[in-house]
Amino acid sequence: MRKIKSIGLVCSLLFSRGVSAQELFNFTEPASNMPARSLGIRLTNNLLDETHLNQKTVQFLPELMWGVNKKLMLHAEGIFRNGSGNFKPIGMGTYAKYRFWSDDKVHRHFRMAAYGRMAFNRGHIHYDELEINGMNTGWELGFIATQLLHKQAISASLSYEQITDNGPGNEIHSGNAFRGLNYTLSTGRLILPKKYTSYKQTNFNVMLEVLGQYLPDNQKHYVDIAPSLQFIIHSQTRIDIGYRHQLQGNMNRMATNSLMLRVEHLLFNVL
Amino acid sequence: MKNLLFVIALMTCVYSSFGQIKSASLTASGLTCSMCSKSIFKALEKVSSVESVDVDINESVFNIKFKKGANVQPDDIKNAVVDAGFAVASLKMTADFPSTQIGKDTHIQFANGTYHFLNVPAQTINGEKTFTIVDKNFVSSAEFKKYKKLTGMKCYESGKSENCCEKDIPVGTRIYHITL
Repeated sequence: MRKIKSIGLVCSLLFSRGVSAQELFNFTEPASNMPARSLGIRLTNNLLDETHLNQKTVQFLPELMWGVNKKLMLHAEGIFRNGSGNFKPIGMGTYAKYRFWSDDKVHRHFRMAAYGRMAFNRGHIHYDELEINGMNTGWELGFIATQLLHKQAISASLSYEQITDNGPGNEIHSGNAFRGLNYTLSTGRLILPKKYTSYKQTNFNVMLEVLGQYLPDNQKHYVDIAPSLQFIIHSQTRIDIGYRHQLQGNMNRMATNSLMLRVEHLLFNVL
Repeated sequence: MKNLLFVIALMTCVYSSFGQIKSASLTASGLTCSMCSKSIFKALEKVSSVESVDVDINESVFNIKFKKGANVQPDDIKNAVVDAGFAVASLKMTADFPSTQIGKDTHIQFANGTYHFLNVPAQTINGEKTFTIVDKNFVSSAEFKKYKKLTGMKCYESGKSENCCEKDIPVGTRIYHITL
């Protein structure tokens, strides 16, 4: 009951009238791209509560992001984990996003993008959950739609994901699903500053995201809720802190609770 | 009668060469956050003709000062905003004009570009004047449609010289459509 009340409070805060919002979501990507010829450096840490193994696992994802042109951006990332005691690289991935629809007006827009992700991973496969951004070898294709309306942003995505074995000795367990559907719904708002006077002001954003997965082969699913905070320093460096918690699900997962900490820096017009 | 109107239309396509664009006021669309605003600011600063940019982040307005003697092309400004991931809602430019007769569909050549006046009454302009570019991707799509209906000229739709323009202007030349 207390949990429902807390979620209700966060929701009412996020959807209250007259709020400002950002679409630089912490757990999902918006349909917008980064500026052309710019480079981004993103360092993501996920602290996963692996209750099955009674251990805390740290996953580190260093990522380079490149705004190729006004419509296309590319990411390349490394995947590191300390799951077996030693902190070591276990995989790598690429991500591409193509913005194919833009309807921009002053202080508002509606945009749509298609994206794809491919990853190689040699980590152990213990779980039902499919996650090529960190756990599995495979690919994902999806669409994102983002509406910015008088500073309030709402975004939704839908994707299809398919995995293969993580190399010899790390095959998909017999009977486990190898394909799944992912869906997300995100919103957020700008808390500070109340009024912009300079690019040096620190921005403070609050976000709330719902992240779900459904595996049609065995009818397993999960739905997570992910509240998060974001600080943007000098309009150029992001610090994201997020918590991801399973609301409901019947999957065997690596973690139903996790903490995310990220630093991201954007270098304008360097390429 | 039609021939006479055609001759009059041609006569209004005046060619002259003068002036420099000194400054501009740009309103960008599709953004609210300061990180987005900064990406436009940085892209504008990178344009070779730009000397300085002042910004009102809340209103998404960028006041641009151009370098003296620089070749100012409005497309360079528009492309900087578009490449940053956003759109131009309005672009007003200020230039020094010598005494020039203008009117509806007058073409003038100045500041290394060809400019076509739309929807202006016959008048003489002299000295500093601010004009608005109303070409595609310089205004909202609704405004573009409004001007397209108003002019009905092919060159407005394409942004390049067509048969409706002065014969001296080679077909395919970039033409900026402006109004006061």
